[in-house]
Amino acid sequence: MRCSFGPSRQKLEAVALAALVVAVSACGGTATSTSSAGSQWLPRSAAPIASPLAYAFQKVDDPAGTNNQVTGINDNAEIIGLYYSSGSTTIYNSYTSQRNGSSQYTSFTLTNWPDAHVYQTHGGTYMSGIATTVTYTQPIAAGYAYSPAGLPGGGQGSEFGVWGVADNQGLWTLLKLHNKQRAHLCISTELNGINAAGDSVGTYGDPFNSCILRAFDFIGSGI
Amino acid sequence: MDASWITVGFYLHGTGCSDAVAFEEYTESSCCSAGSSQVFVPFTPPSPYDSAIATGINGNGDVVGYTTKSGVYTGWFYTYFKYYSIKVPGAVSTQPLAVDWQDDVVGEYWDSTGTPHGFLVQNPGGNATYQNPIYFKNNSKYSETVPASIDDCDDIAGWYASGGVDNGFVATTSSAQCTIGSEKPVANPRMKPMNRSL
Repeated sequence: MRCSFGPSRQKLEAVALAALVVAVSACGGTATSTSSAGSQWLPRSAAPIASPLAYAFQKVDDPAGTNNQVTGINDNAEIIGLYYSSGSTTIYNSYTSQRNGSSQYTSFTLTNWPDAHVYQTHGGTYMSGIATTVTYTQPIAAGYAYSPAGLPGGGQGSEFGVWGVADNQGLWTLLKLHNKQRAHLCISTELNGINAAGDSVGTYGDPFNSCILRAFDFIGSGI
Repeated sequence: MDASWITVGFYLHGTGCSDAVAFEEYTESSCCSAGSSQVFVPFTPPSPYDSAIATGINGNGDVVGYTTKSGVYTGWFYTYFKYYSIKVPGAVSTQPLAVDWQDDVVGEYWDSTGTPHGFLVQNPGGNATYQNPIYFKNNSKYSETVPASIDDCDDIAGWYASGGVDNGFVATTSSAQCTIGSEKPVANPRMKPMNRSL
């Protein structure tokens, strides 16, 4: 069975897929936790200074959108970013790009969950992290998507809300808080960063505490 | 559901925790799933705070993020089982967004007037080598520069606001400590996060 869709995301829908649902519990042997017992809140007294490093800025905008943000860069100088529309509804479209021979970013490849929708006032796919894979083939990326469709259990409300997404060289993974009784209360799980091992970090709404945001590291999420 | 999507199963790893937080993961192919290697690690920075957000992770498994309390952001940096604060002196709020291999951290802070600024701070977890936060700004005419990511060569990516429009950028420095593409990620950087259990 193929594990990757290759470089063309447009071929996603044409590939026969099998979807595996994995729920990883936070109890039992699958979860650890960090403790603040040994933590240090160190006071800082030094004011910011001017940069001793001379940086050269290159504007990087996907011409498909008016508002652009580059949200991630990896060690191969590959970037991930997005463009979005302004208005009553904000729709994000994410892209990846690699520098050309002139060290310019001129070619942009859409990197969207194939079937994201609008949830409340926002929609689309917001990719926010990119890492270099060990094999230096294609990068691995993470972010989140609004109301992604095409999931097992579709039509029963499971797609609503914000889901974390990881794109491992064309293999997409969705991630969301799971709790049968209360999952509907908190609609947001976001991945914000990812490293070369596929470990991602992000935030989710705590269904047992008024949906306040909690930070997490999901080790191996990008596999 | 797209006709090409076929559901082949549901696997729940771990049972008997009805009040616990768990995650569902939907992968497009069953061949690459490795549920047994996946570990969920919640972060608990020192209180008090209302919410905690993790924003970046490097190849060592070091993580940055921020907490919120009454609308104020306080940055945190997690390495070797300890949390360190990241708070730009004089800032009302500090929001780290990314960390690189050398533990350089980039992000945004807001001064007492509510004006946002980009910053770069080097090695916030090393007391002896701590250096002053560095202003990071594209051009004085732009109202806001957000350094959102930094790679292991100190290249920084983000966006700046110009005329009410966001523009992306990549900033490079000739003082970079490496050549693009020359460094290799460690074979198993996951070993460190796996040992976070205290």
